[in-house]
Amino acid sequence: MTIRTAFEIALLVLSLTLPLMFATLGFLKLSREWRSRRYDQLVEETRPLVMAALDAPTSIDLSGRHGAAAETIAASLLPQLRGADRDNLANLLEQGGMLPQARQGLRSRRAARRQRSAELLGAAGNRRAAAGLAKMLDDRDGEVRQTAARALGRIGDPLSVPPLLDALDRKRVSAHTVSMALLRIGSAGAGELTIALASDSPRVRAVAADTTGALGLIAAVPTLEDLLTDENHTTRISAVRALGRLGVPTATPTLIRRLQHELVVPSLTFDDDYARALITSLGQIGERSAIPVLEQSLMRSYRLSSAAADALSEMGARRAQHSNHESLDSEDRRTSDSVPSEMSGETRDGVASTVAQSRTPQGNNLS
Amino acid sequence: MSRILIADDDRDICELVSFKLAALGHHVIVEHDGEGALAAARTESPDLIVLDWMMPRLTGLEVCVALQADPALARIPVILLTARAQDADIQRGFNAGANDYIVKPFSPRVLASRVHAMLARVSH
Repeated sequence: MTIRTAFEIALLVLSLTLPLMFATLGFLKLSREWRSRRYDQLVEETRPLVMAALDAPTSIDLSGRHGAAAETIAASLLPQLRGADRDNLANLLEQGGMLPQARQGLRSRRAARRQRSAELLGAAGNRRAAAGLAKMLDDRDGEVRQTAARALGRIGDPLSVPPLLDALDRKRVSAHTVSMALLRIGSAGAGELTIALASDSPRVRAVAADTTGALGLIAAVPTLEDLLTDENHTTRISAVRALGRLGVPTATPTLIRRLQHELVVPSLTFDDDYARALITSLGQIGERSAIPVLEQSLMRSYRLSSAAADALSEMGARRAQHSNHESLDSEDRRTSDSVPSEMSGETRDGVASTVAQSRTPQGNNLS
Repeated sequence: MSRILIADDDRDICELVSFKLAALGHHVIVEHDGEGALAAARTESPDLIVLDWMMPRLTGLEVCVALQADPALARIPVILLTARAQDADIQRGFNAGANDYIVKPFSPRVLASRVHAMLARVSH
């Protein structure tokens, strides 16, 4: 066979197979579109049934052909609902067999299936899935682990706090995801969070401190005060911020002592972020006894002095609000009047000027 | 029977809210984007509008501002229904002209109560 003949045969085969290949691809595409349209149609048919079932969950059977469509609708609706409608929808999914299936799906070999199941169970607030989801915090797939942590937060079972903190310690789930989950669980997990403040892991201590502050767990104040001298920088700052958020006046003397200590330490070991956090928290708590140390901070670097000016300004503004003062219309008047009135005239003018400068975008370049 | 316009790009939410309000005897008009909502506000003369914030074409906030700018539409009460829960967002919503603000996740029953309260206030 000559080369020319072989080439002609190859061309012939190609000319026959190419149209066949295109026809197959076209058929597959059409078939996919048709299935998708049919599914959309099924979702449209199922939607009114799901809505009706929200008011009378036992009256409608959503198993069978409507089951998958109902699951799609529920997965979209559940995260946006609260109250009785959310509970009814979750009950509907339980009765329809979708939630039991999702609990089984947590053990699926496919990561996408495990993740979808975790999302649905979390959105439904399914407590029966909490143990299974806690195991998934060790899943081999990172996305699945994050989804499981979020789902545990949505379910809100306080028993999930220790596994979440453990996953955080072992860096299986991000600090942000764990924090959000703990916030969703809320004060029901207060006991575990207070214990976590004394954890051996600095990551756990820091997240526990942030969360206790955000949740307003005042009982944690003495432990947070102890964390002000923690060996870990992030934990120290988290503790300071938590105390500021909690706003408990009894924490003021400890915060003042820490700030005074920071202001006298040699410049090489000086922790600027920590000092600024202390200043901000003292401003948030708003005790007058903090004014001298805040005034002292005004004489330091620009970053510290502007933080101190903001803190003093916040204290003044809050007291002005308490006294039902008239609202002030000019920026200059607001600035000068928001400074605490017990300050000496010179300091008072200085603070007002620093506040005004810190509100100017290029305030530190004006000199 | 009141005419209520619901605008949300999430079809499930539209269906749910319209189902609840229709069950209470209201006539419900549904739109899925901001432009459609504004056009429906002009042609359908609703008694109240439930608006999502994040919608294609025009946001709920832009619709609010456009409603306020039109003397014929400025009187229509608006309830913003949105996942944006920051204080600053809520302030922006009211500044744009919303009369009420509901944060998602929400209770459809509470939304229905607020719609009733708003309609009762307007009719007096």
